[in-house]
Amino acid sequence: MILLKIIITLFILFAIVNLINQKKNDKINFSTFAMWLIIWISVGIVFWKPDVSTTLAHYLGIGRGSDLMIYISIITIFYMLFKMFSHINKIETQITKIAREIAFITANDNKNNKN
Amino acid sequence: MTQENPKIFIIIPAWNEEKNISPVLSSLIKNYENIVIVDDGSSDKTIEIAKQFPVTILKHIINRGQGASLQTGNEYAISCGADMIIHFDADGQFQISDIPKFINELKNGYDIVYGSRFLDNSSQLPWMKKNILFPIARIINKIFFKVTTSDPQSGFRAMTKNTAEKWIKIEHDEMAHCSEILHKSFKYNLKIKEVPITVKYHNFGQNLSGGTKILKDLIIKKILK
Repeated sequence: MILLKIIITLFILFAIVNLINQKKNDKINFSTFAMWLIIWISVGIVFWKPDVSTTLAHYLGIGRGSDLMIYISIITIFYMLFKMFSHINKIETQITKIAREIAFITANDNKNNKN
Repeated sequence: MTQENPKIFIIIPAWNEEKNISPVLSSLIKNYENIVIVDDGSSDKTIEIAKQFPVTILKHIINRGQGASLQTGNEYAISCGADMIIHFDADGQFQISDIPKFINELKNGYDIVYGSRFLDNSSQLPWMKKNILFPIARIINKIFFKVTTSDPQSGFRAMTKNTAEKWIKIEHDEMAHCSEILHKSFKYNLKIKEVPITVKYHNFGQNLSGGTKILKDLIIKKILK
């Protein structure tokens, strides 16, 4: 078990370093940075001190710590899925605008060449 | 708008229509001057064939969907000073002889005119469409979008420049644009008229999975808005 904890901890540290680098290079905004930092630190705490999740679960009226983890995971996944859908939708709209603009430019060029 | 002699633009979205586009354009150019083909990233010879006719060709470099093509056509027509915009299909299923009905109703003061396959019995609708898909679509349109037209998915429509410019900006790139345009017409209290049209079916068009996709697109766009 201690070996798994070390591997997971190293992975979390790697993820946090990567996150800090992304923030330093302005590849992510502060809210994304903060959200992921909280997620990774929480994963580390729960892995080293599983009782914390149980205490929190009891406090929230949920039976077991592992149940709380599942609920949080599901909510997080759905939220991320929504954000991805939203992002893809925005990109699709932008691609259409680009395709449309190119169509107008090409049509005008053709019209000018004819004249 | 010059009521007697309005500037009419016919917008035809086309995606891989090399087999059908030629007869459609041959007939249209006899009666109408401003025809705009929006080629939606066709991989066949649609563009080469269209170039043989005196029409304007707008080319989407990649496929963006029928809704996106129609909006491209609308924007182009508006920029060219169109008074009336007509949406027509490239597959030869709509009848050119129906177009004057749309023009007359716009001249009568309507903002948007929809072709309906249900106002007379001239269209031979596939059984599945007539008895299953369209009744479901009609119910969905009525409940969710307060749309009460007889034809829930007609692609044959005409609108004034003002309507296209101010009220009907098509945001759904794919097939959900039909429901979107209908919804916006009712939402903005436009003066709506339906005219009977004849549709000659060569193929089935939207099937059940197509209908489900339209519904999914409408819901996602609504949530993300």
